[in-house]
Amino acid sequence: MTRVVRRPVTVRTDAHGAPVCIVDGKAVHTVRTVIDHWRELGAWWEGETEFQLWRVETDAGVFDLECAEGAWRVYRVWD
Amino acid sequence: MRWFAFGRAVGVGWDGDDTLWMTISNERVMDASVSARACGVEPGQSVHTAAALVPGITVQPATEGPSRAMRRLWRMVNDVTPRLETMGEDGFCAAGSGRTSETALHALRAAARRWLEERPGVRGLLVGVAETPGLARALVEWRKCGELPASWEQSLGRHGRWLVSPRLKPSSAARNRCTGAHEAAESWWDPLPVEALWVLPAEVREMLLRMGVLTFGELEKVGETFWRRMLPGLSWTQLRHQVCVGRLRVNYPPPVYCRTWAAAAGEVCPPEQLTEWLEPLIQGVGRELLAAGCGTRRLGLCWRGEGGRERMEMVLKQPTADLQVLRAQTLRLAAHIRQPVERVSLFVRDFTSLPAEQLRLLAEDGRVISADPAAHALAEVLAQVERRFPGRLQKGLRPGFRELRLARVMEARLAVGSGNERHERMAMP
Repeated sequence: MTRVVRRPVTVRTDAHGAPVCIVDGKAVHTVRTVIDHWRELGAWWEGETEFQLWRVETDAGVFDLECAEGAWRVYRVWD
Repeated sequence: MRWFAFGRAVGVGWDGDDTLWMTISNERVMDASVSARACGVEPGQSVHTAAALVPGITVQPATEGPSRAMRRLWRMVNDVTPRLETMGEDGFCAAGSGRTSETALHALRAAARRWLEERPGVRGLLVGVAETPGLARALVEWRKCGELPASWEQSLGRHGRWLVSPRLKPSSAARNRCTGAHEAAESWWDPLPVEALWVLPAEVREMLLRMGVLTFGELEKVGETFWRRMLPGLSWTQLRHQVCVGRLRVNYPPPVYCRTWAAAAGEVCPPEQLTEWLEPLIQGVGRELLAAGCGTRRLGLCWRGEGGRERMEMVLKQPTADLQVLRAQTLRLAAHIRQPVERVSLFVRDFTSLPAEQLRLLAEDGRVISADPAAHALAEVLAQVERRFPGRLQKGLRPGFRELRLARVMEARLAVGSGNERHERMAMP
């Protein structure tokens, strides 16, 4: 089961642009594993541009992170 | 015609070669081959009793998950209809509707027969076909604990039975009618034995039998107080709905259709030449979607090149199985491939069942065809005439009674209107 969240977060990345750490308010989650990474065109008919998605495993669970034009958001939380 | 088929298989707990076998758990028989069942072995029996009945029977521990045999049956059913729910590890519920549903039903029956013939003496199958999922299951449960009227039952090989509700028989005048509460007085399912009511716990069934309530129809007489006392969470209306209507929750086919192209070893394909290699992938995926009767909401390309493995996906505005849309969107994704690739996969997922009307408009090659087979045949003939005598064919429609009557009424009204006008003109000074 998953929940779509779409909440802005701060993400620290490594030299290749992969997320290393998620800062969500006062909570800080360290990324243990990058499970998957892909690009999406989004809702192109509504003018959405290309964005990147990272599925990561942290100490708090599995998240899908969305990065569009440098802005990061938690796209989805996996229960 | 709309139908639902509920199937329950036996002898699918083990995939070995022996004919006489049983699977056990906690010293009890869980499943047995049809041949072993014919010798008296039954699920729930103690292992010693079963072994005494069939000396030398192969004993296997029961495993978790569906067997290969059952997975194969699901695949075969899924080839016939995309609306398939797997039920436990030995059952399924499938549905068909629209113009091609009768053909699908014949294909389903042929598939069931074929599946049974693959391992004679091992597998058995009961398939109930009715107007709702609940009633299809009721037929199977009924047959398991008693005899059905002979005209409802057909053979499906030696160990299979095909049970058809009287409303779905070709001769039935009541065919295609909706199932509703008002039809209770003439329901064919009223004689369904209480023992076959899978929605009731065993102790409630026993209690009902002790009370002299033997059939489903007689349950109407049981007051709501009984249900409240025996089954606090279930009212008679809910129970009736579960048995007479039921529900199909599609959980099959697999969630992704994928086609892959790979270059010869050591070679790569430049991005500008990729289009020609993508075309067969698009066609293959499109065919699979049409066969499954699904439209996809998400499409993606996954490729491997000098820069490593990359994947790009896109959501589609509407679920589609249309080749032209698939082609256009695949090429839009492929435009993001900038390096030579060794291997490229096209995949689609997030499916939605397409309405029958929409499916009928999509031919195998993506052409739009007529929804009506007769009209399609006529269109082909007209196209031949048009090719032979270009411009000579006059196409039109002959008016029916309503159109002719409307035309006469309009003419009459016009005549009366013009008469009045003349009269008014004459009356003016």
